[in-house]
Amino acid sequence: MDTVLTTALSSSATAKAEAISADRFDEIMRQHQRRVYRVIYLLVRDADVADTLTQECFLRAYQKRASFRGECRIETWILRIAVNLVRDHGRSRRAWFWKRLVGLEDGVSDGAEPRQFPAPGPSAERALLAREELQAVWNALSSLSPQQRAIFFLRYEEEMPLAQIAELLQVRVGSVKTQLARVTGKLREMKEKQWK
Amino acid sequence: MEIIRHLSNEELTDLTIESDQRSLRPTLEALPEWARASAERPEQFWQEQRSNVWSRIASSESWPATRMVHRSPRLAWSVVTALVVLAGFMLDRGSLTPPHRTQMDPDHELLLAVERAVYNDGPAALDPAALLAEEMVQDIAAARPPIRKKEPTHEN
Repeated sequence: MDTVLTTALSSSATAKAEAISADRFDEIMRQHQRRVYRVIYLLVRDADVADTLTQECFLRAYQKRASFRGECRIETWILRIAVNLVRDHGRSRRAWFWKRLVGLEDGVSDGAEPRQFPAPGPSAERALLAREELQAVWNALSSLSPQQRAIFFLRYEEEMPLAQIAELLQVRVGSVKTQLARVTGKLREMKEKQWK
Repeated sequence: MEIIRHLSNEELTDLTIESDQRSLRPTLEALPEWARASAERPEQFWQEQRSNVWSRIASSESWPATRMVHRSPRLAWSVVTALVVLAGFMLDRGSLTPPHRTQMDPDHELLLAVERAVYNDGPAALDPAALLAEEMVQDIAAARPPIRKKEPTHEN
């Protein structure tokens, strides 16, 4: 664990690059794993997949740490890896779905949306209520693109500024705003029609 | 007269978002709490996740090729380049060497001999006969009186 990482992993975009140890990486993982897991979980809506992708995310972050130059926050960089992994996962799931549709592959679950949230661990009652509310939001957002859903959750669940979302998704702030307007419009429309 | 300024697209978008946010305020305000509660896991889960990540890192680093690529990409590229150059050199040498004859078909061999004979004006065995024939033609040509040119007549 005393291996010195050659790359700087700073918590601020303006912070000077510094070499950190594997212990520091472990600290970063402790600091961000819940958030990374939560974002992935909200996007894939599957606890096991979220766990696997979170592990993959930190594995890639460790392996690609040399590419991190400190231009953005470390959490932005890690969440970018996470969102890209979710996108790749969605693509492979769609490919698997079509394979299964034409009879090339067998499977138990079809991966079609919407999927139910699995029961989490502690404070079951609170989690159950939260799950029901989230499910309603998810149903309302199911017709939107993965990127629009990501923008919505990053903005309102993670309470991220628009500029940081744009940096994370590597798009313009204007594009984030436009897509956010579509999502909130859709949500409002759904709420007016059938939600509650 | 008051001139009303038109709103830009961005300003319109901002207004739309603000309006929607007001309408969805209870939901949007509760969303972080719902998400946190839904994604809540026991401490053991996070510990296991971290140990899984470290074991995956260890296994990926124990594989020599991966380790070489990650630790010294320049060395890895040098090895790849050397292999490509070597392969190219071997392919080049392979194209210069004459094709190796593994098995010769007798019919094909005969066909090649005939072809060789045709291009050499006849088989080697018939060379004396060809010489004799040539001499005979020359003798006949020498024995024949020269052909005189027919002189014009003045019959008319």
